[in-house]
Amino acid sequence: MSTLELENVSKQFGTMAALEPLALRIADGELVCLLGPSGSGKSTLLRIIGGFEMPTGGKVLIDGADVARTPPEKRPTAMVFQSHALWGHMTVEGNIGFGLKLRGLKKPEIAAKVDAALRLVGLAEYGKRHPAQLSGGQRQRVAIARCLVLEPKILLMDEPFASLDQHLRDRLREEVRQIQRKLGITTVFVTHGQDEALSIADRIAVMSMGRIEQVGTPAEIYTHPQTPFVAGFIGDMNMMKTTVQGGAALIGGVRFDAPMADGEALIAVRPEDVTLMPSRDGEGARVRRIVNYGAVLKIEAEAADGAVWKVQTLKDVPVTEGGFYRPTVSRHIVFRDDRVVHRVDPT
Amino acid sequence: MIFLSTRRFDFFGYGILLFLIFFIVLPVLTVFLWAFAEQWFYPAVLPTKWGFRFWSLVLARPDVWSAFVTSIELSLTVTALSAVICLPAAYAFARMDFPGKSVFMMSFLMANAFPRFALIISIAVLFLSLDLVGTFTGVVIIQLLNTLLLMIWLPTAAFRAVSREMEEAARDVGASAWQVFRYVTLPQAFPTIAAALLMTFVWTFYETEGAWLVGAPRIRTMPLLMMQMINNQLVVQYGAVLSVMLWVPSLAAILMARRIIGGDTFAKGLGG
Ligand SMILES: Nc1ncnc2c1ncn2[C@@H]1O[C@H](COP(=O)(O)OP(=O)(O)O)[C@@H](O)[C@H]1O
Ligand SMILES: [Mg+2]
Repeated sequence: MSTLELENVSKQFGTMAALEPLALRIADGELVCLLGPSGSGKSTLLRIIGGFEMPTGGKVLIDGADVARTPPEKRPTAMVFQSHALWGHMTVEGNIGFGLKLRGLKKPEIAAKVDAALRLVGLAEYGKRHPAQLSGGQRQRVAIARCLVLEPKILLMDEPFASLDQHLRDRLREEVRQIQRKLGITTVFVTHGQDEALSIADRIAVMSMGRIEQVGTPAEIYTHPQTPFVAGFIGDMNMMKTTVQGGAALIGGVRFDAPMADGEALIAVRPEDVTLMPSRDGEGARVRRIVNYGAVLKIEAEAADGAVWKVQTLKDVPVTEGGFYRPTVSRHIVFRDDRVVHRVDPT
Repeated sequence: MIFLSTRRFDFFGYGILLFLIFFIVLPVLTVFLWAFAEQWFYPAVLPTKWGFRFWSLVLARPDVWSAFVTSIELSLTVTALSAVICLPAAYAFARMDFPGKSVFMMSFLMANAFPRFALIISIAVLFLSLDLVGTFTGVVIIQLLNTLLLMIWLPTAAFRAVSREMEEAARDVGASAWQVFRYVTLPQAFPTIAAALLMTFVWTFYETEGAWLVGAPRIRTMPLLMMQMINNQLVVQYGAVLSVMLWVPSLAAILMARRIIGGDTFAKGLGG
């Protein structure tokens, strides 16, 4: 039963603010992904939780106790590093058992725990090997076992599968998810891959330039982005600059509801929320390109005013390249000053 | 074209081979032959009488044994002291930041940019006033200075090469700073450090300039004794026997180095 709370945590490297003061609460047994582009401060935040960086300000509360000034060896956290960071001069067993040895456990007890941890990650036969004799995926499994064997309160993972190929990454991600569920261990998982975050997380914290832009379930983040950054970063999105006049904006032949003061605004539309209806030649938008993804078609259509629509439809919708279609939009979001001003969502 | 270039390559290769034979293999071979020659008169290509007589003569000399003991004692002392002084310094250079660090690092290089012999002479003059000339301590100090660069730069590079994440992972599972060093950093850097220690030992064992200038006449190491015998004795075999004997520790060192550096440890140290 462990919770993690960050209160006003900030980090300054010299004059550069790597993290603006931020807050985040993670419930017991929850898996939260820190998702953001490279350099957005994900690793810095994770390292602050793990004790490898001191926050410039703020509190890191694990089960209510502030550990912001506690060194990593005294924290109930365990970290899986991107480079796996296994100790090459020790065997797999040696790696996993090292923390237990430091805690002064008896040999048979260590052996039993190491064995259980190895079986948990599906490497029961590999205890006597050295890390150099393992594949990339197996090494990360050992790194995970090395953490779990210590029964930490919080599990931290920093892009653990970034160096693996797509197929292996998907599989390990599922395994991690299952193990995490089974043990009910509170987990913070850093990634810059939205697919990874969307598929594994209970909640996602989207980060950009040292700030947490939004925290929410994958569905919330996808359907209700709170900032243009989140809207553009997760999933495909039509992001269109426009000028609102009289409570509406006109883009690519589509009229958007925008009940607000006149002026600049940003309108965001998901490709799957655009429908194309056949129209007469020269009217509406002309289809430039169709890419068949099997289950869906991804279409690019250019309107007379130059606006380009990204459209996604089911594959049995009859659309041809070069044809003219009238786009209709079922959902849209209007942003101004980086905030949501209006949202049309019939569901 | 191919024919030509092959011929040219062969010529070049043979040239190098001849050079090596003439300047390295031949002298070494000659020394070896002399060491086991009891008689070798001018026109004969090989010794005219073989035997171990000069070995028993050389081994019976007390000055040979005392020089041998001196050399071993000296090399061991210098290696041990150098390790005690340089390894912590190397770790500090690799992992800590302090003012004047780069100046300090540079000063080692600078000291080695001077002509070594001139440097040793000026140190010998200094030692004269400190009453260190002709003492074991004096020779130890000069050899320490000699090996400082090697024993700081190599281990510094070795410590630097240890992955930070590996050390952090050790902290993460509960290791204190000292335990991280003991169980992760040191084993990871060990092959390189072992090589530096071996090189220090061998270097000290064979060094002559400093040993002679500071140690003479009371401290006499094996190489000094050998030089003295070659210079003063009419019997060539004494020097030859000593040369062959002197060859043994370096051979042992190379074999040890192969075990430590070329062997399993190295692969494991790098692995992962
Ligand atoms: N030790 C450090 N010293 C100085 N700047 C750092 C340090 N660590 C990270 N940074 C900077 O902080 C910012 C956030 O880095 P990081 O947390 O690694 O981002 P991410 O993991 O999201 O890619 C980057 O601009 C990075 O250059
Ligand atoms: Mg990172």
